Amino acid sequence: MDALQLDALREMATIGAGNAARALSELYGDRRVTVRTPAVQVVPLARVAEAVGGDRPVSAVVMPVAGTGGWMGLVFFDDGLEQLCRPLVPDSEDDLLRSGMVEVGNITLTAYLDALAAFTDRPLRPGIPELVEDSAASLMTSLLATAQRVTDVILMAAQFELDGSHLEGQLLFLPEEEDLQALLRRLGMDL
Amino acid sequence: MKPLALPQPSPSEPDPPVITVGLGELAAAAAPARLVTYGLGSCVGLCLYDAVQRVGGLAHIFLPSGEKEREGQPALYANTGVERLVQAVVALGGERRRLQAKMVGGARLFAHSDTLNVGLRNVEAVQAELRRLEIPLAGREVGGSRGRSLLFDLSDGRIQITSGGREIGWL
Repeated sequence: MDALQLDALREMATIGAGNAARALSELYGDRRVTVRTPAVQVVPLARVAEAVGGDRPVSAVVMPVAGTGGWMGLVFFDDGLEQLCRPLVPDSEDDLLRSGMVEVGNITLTAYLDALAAFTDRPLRPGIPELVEDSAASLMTSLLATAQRVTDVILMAAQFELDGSHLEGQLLFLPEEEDLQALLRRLGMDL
Repeated sequence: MKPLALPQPSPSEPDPPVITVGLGELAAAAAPARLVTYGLGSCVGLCLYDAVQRVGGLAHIFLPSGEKEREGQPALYANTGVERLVQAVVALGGERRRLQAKMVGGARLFAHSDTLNVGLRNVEAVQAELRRLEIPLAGREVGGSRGRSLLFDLSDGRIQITSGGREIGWL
């Protein structure tokens, strides 16, 4: 993928980030949330587990893409996702915190998926999100095992800012074959 | 600045080599090497061992079956990978009728979405291949909802299993 196409992909990610920031700001009440995706890369299947973090522990919200197959995911190392959601449930009830984590993931992923659906003109709809805590490699290989028509993964660095504190995560899009081709066509790369 | 002269470890034995097996890969080796694989979610780590020759092998199996072969990943599928692992261990001097198998992995990480339960199907497919090839299964640590990693020591055939950075058992 050349620099221009990556720029176009980054542009799409920026629209998703704007959607996500608006929706999250509502969820967090009057607090201002900003989301940026400064870097985007396309990673082939064989390298994905390492690229996302190998044996490092992650917490992630993953969501199947209904309508076509494929997955979206929001991944943080260690307790990054918990830190992001802690302000939502200050009284540290574990169940509430976990549902807060799922909801933050749901809102973020749906916002990006909407941007992707508009950009590619494909019927991408959010499925049921769920929270997974495991190693990056276990997560990625298990995602790929359920999505056999995925050949490349789009990996976006995601920076969240809430009340002045910064948190770094990763956003994943595992497009089903036809969705990937629609995306590449939109970027001017015919396969 | 000159580095501090730290006491040197005794010059006797170098550490035995550790060979890392990635997704869809397989490796065979002899004692005292160790074989390691990380990130077994729904995947299955299959270990074969000949305790007399002290040679063995490890495969990181991704799916029960498939045809789409990929360069450098001969063990992506149970329906072809198990037999290839047997061949690799035999080529290194392992006696086929002495081989014993142990398997780790086959978890189900996604409660809602993994309706096919790929992990369970991987476990069943590997066991079916072992039966077909008449290799006894000497132990297994499979299922559950968490990913695992394993370290297979070819000097004694023991397998250390970790999950979430903690040791959870031996086979």
